[in-house]
Amino acid sequence: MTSSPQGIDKSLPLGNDWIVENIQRGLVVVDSRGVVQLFNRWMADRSGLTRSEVLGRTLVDVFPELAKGRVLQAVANALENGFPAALSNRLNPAPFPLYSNKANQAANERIQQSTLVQSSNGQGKEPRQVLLEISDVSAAVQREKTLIHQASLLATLSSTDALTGLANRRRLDAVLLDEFRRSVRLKQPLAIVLIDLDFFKVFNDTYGHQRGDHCLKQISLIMQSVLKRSSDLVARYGGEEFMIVLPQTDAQGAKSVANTLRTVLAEQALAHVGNPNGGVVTISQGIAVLMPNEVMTLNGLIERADLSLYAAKRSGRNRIAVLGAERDIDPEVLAPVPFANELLQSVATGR
Amino acid sequence: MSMQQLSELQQDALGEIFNIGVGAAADVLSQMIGDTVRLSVPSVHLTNQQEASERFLLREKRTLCAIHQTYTGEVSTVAILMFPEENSLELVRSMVGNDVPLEQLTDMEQDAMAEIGNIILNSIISKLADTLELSFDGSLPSVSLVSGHTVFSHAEGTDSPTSAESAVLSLSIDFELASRQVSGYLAFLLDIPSGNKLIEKLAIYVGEDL
Repeated sequence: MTSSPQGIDKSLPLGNDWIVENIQRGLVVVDSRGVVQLFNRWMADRSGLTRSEVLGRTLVDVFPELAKGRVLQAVANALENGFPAALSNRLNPAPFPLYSNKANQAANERIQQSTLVQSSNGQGKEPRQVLLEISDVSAAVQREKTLIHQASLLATLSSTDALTGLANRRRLDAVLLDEFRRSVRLKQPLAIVLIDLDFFKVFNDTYGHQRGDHCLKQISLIMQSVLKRSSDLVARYGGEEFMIVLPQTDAQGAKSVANTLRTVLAEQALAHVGNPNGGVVTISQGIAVLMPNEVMTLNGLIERADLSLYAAKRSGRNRIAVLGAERDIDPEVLAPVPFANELLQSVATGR
Repeated sequence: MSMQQLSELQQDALGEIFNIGVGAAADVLSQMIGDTVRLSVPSVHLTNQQEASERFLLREKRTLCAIHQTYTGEVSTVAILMFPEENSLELVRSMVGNDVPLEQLTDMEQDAMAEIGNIILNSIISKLADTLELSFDGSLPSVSLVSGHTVFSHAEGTDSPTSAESAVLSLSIDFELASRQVSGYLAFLLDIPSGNKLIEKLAIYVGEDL
């Protein structure tokens, strides 16, 4: 057996050259002038370059695009101070134009790479040489992509309301807490709007639960269409209640969003014969605002939205009520507009 | 044996060297991600492993992502850059602009941490080498997820000093990128001759040599 302790069999073809040619990773040696001195078969096969095209030329001459990235910088550093560098795939996905086959090359799909740069021991004697070692990490990258995809799918599922596709309560709680903390930290206003469908129980009794579900979906689409900023969030709060979170928004801004929502909903004129407010679907909205420098808890803010919503309902529904700042004791109830057509008129005349 | 102390001048000089070093690293990182990265070293202490452990590591309950690199020369040191895993996640993900819903560092992200650590450590050591006229050979970085109390014993460098009294240059390091702040901790483990040599070189540099 060759592995017996009797010595090394020098007749085996396992010389350094054989290893360099057969190792399953790219090896490139660059001398102190940056000239390529070694380019193994793995590199030649995957770059489509022959040894005679590469050897004797500088690395940047062979691969001009390296001038932009970190590889050349790492080589220069290794030559200068002898420090090695590890270039990760995440931060340098594919610095070398290497392809696993012709089809991939035609599609410009490079091998995903991870690169190590090491220099020969300098210590002032011989000029340093630098060894670049390039591994194909495509399989690992693909595995991670799959993992991340599955995890984000799971995250989406666990944060989405199955019926409406809106953010669910779990997601709302998380976002609300984040936004609340951010607003306090950055001293910016934060507005929330609590929304309730008027006489929804009657709607279900009249039209049945399937139509009820359909109505919730329609309202959800309308609410989503009204929000303009990516930081705004609308979530299903429970049953026929929804909440809109509006970061960096004061009472004026929140009223404007609520008004738009009411207008757009009125335009749709979704039938709801049991609703004394014009026989169409209407909503009551309660707004609460956290103003900069105000001392309040998140629960306090939600309670204020609840109070506002209650005031909006008590004054006849299809209304918006606001608790704008801590000093407000009673919610301000905005212009009640009982019928859809009147509502449209009042918006047109800017009332 | 009693630890050597740094004079105020030496302490200031080290602070300046480290800040210039991480400044250069910040430039490289900024270039890589096309966004401004700021790095600073608010404090540097020469202490021993036991004290450094007590001060920074033992009360750290979170898993640490540790990047090790060994530098050898007149002064030899095992450098360990550590971030709590959640900070590492934030760091890597702000650098690659990726909103990954995973709570742990993936293998690829650990490699990215090794690269970030490598850039920072090489910059610091290179500045130290230039300023104090030292020369070093460096190893490739390795990365591991460890708990606070095993960091020093986990430093797998073959000749790493591991006794509680061995000297440690210990510093905190602050990252600022994409309007986020991330803090880490950096330790250079030194054996006794290396600790002495470093102080000697620093004394010469600040003009305190006797």
